[in-house]
Amino acid sequence: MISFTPRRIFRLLGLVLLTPLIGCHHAQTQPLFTPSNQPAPHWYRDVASSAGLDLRWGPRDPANLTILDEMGFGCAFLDYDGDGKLDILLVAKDHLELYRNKGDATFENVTDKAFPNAPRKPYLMGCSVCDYDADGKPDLFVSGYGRTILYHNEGNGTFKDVTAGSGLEASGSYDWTTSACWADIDGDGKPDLYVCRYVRFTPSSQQLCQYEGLDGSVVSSSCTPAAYPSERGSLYHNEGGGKFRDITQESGLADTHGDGLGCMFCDFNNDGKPDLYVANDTRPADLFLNLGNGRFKDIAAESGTAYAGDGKIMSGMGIDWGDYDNDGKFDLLVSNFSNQLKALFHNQGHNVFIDEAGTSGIALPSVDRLTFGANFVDVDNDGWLDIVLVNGHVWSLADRIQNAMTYYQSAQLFHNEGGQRFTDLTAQAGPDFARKIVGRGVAVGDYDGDGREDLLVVNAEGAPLLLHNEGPRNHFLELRCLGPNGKSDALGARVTLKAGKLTQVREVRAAGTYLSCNFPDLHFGLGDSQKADEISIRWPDGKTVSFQSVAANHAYLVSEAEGRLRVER
Amino acid sequence: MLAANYGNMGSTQRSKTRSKDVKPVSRQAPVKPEAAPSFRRIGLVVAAIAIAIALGIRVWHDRGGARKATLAELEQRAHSHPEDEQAQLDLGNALLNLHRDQEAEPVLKAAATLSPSDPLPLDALAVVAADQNRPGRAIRYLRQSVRLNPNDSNAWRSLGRLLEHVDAKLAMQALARATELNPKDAVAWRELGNTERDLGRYGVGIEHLQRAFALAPNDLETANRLGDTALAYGSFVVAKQAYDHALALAPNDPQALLGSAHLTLQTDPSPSGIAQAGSQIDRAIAIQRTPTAYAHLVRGRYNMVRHNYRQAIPDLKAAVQMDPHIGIAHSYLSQVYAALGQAELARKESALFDIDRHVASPSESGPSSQGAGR
Repeated sequence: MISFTPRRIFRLLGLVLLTPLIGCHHAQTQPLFTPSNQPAPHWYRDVASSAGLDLRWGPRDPANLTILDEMGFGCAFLDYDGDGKLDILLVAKDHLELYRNKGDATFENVTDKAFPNAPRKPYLMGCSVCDYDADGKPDLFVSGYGRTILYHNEGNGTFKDVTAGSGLEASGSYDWTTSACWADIDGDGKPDLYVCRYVRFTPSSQQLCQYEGLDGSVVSSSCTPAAYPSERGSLYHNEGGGKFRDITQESGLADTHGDGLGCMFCDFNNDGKPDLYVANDTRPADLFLNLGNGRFKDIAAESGTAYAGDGKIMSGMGIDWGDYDNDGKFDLLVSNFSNQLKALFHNQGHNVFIDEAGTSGIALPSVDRLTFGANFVDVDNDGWLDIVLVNGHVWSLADRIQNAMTYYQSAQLFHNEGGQRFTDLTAQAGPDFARKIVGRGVAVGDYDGDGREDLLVVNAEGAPLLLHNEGPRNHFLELRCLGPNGKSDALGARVTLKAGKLTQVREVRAAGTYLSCNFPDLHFGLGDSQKADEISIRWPDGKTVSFQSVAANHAYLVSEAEGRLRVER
Repeated sequence: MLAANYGNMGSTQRSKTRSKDVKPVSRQAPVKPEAAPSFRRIGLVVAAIAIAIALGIRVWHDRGGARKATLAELEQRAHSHPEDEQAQLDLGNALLNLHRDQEAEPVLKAAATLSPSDPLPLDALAVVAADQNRPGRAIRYLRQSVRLNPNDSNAWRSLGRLLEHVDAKLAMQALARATELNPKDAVAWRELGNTERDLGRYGVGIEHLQRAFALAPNDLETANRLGDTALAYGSFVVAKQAYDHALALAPNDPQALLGSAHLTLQTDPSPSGIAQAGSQIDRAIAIQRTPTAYAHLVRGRYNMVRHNYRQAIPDLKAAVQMDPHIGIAHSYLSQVYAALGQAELARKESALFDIDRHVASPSESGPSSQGAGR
């Protein structure tokens, strides 16, 4: 029997004993390592193959890829067995693949054990991880085409399909759900679920569209979403007992613009209630302000987030919330189609955002890429959130349709230069990072516990990338926040960390960018600070707690019930 | 998808450019770009004028326009030999060349009746119809002409240019035929590029415009159109090259100045970039004297980028008043009001933008759309 409390018992066993408990006092711990500013020549190295990730999504026949085929898949970092080590979930077309972290930089494929007798049946696409029943074990929601699955983590290394009767069943053979995200929208202590829907695509729909090739020939490729009727996402209220109720209509979310591909909750206005942004493909985006009592209002237009800063409608796909300029307010990153400007919405306060993609320096270098996954990640632990864009065109024959356009595209890393400007450091990230792939989902997590954020990337035409971060070894601090029961992630908890001159804010989420899910631990780069001067936590119920002088280079656990920091490693 | 909004804007710009093109020889009233109600109509008129000129010159030369016969001689010959198609045609062309269209028309019709298999009277009649601002009739004549002589690239090009404002897909076919017959026809390539763009196929449109640009590097209109299309498509490198070239050809060309400024505001909103854009906008407006809708739009955008939201409002409002099809101005206004915390107005402008993109640009939602979006 696997024990899940404490969830992350060891990664480096000796450190568990180093400082077992830290109360609201000065934390006296020894650093995990001596930071060095001598990073490896390249900041990321793909270790997927040596780590044992053997799934392949492609290559596929490029001639007949429909809009369904082009959308790709998601991935997630999770700790499904509670051993403190990040495991990996990959969504394949007709099944899930789960890889258990063995702790020696390799993974064991435990798919058959974890999902016994699971039928191999298309079409699965995205995944979201959340302990919906607060039993301390992360469960799974899987989106797809004509299929959704709610997997309950049984605690013995297996997942049980509990979709039937849960209220989360696909509404039909052509019900197409994409990204999903969780938040406790009404403060009842139970995480609720929002699921995006894309378009109505059926066997009788137009499957392929004709494009005039650059050489004058006719090229068949997937159609744009405009060829199909829009579908709208749903908000499901967690009723407890494994039951969910569709409250889309009564919550005010029925009037989304449709064609949703990305979603993420975030309390962007810091009123203690999670708000929701939905990225729509070729339609205005939706920003739902949480009014309380389970009611939302779409304020995208009046907030300035409905369109990109150049006034155009976005082909929104992946999104992420993060405070890139450390002003205490969460900003918003939205991916976009090739030849369209990606959006970096700066939170001005008062529910107003201004797209600073142009002034920040990310717009021009990324304009020729078709971006799906988009993440804020502090890749070098300098205390400033950098930007990772995962790219790949949707047209397998893109090079025949558009000049200088390719199906396979490299990811991009934009380094944050102090909150105002980003510089393109893709070359610095290395050849593995910049390898041309058909990028789709991406998840963030520190899978080997070395204090640097790693990336798990879906390559829809090949193998996954597990990009191990070998960049600068600045100081860091990781924090896992558990709710009142001491077992489940405290979704919506807001953590403010002060170290030296920097103040950073993070929020506990069960979400990720396009079709994917990040590990929920909060990661702070501390630069050259050897300690956090102060860590303040505002729990979802509004209670607060703070800690002073917390040593860097450790992963901590804090539960609302205990009110103290516990060193995990 | 959204690029289609720029497409509308582009049509406006193009109309202006055309009116300028034909100005030295125009017999029509000058086209006012600000006359927003029917750009399609304006485009047709301008195209008809251009075609009338092109075809008129051609017809005259085809029939030995340089011949020294006087009009009186031609009239006498035509009256003496009413069954001689050549005589009727020569007279008709002469009258046409003298801008006596009303007299030319029956003579040319007689020629067409006498020799139903000759496309030349039909070409001349198309000129008359175009001059008379009857594009539909001109199209009919040209269709008959290309049926009789399917290898006449000029007729195909003229037909395509007229059709551009009537049926873009048919126009594209005609222009494509013209470029097949004469791959060095820069105007046909340019118009084909424009038509592709109007159909939402920006990538292919840029390709064609680049071919036109290569064939006629000194054609300011081609450079500007390439810049406009590339800017709308998000091909910023191509757009910059095109505008830089246009400005090298004509440093004070308002269209190039405004396009370049608009591009800079999107790609280089640094203090120096913004300053450069501001200078270009000022120059363009000084030359225009009365700012066009596009000039208002770009100046509004300039103030947005500088976070001078209140100053942006009058320009953006003027842009949509002058050209209701500049849908992007609604989007800008929505963002401006959002930044100013005026939620209701932001929502209203957003709704107008939504309506505009659905009503004004049906082609953008076509499954084969290849706009900047999807």
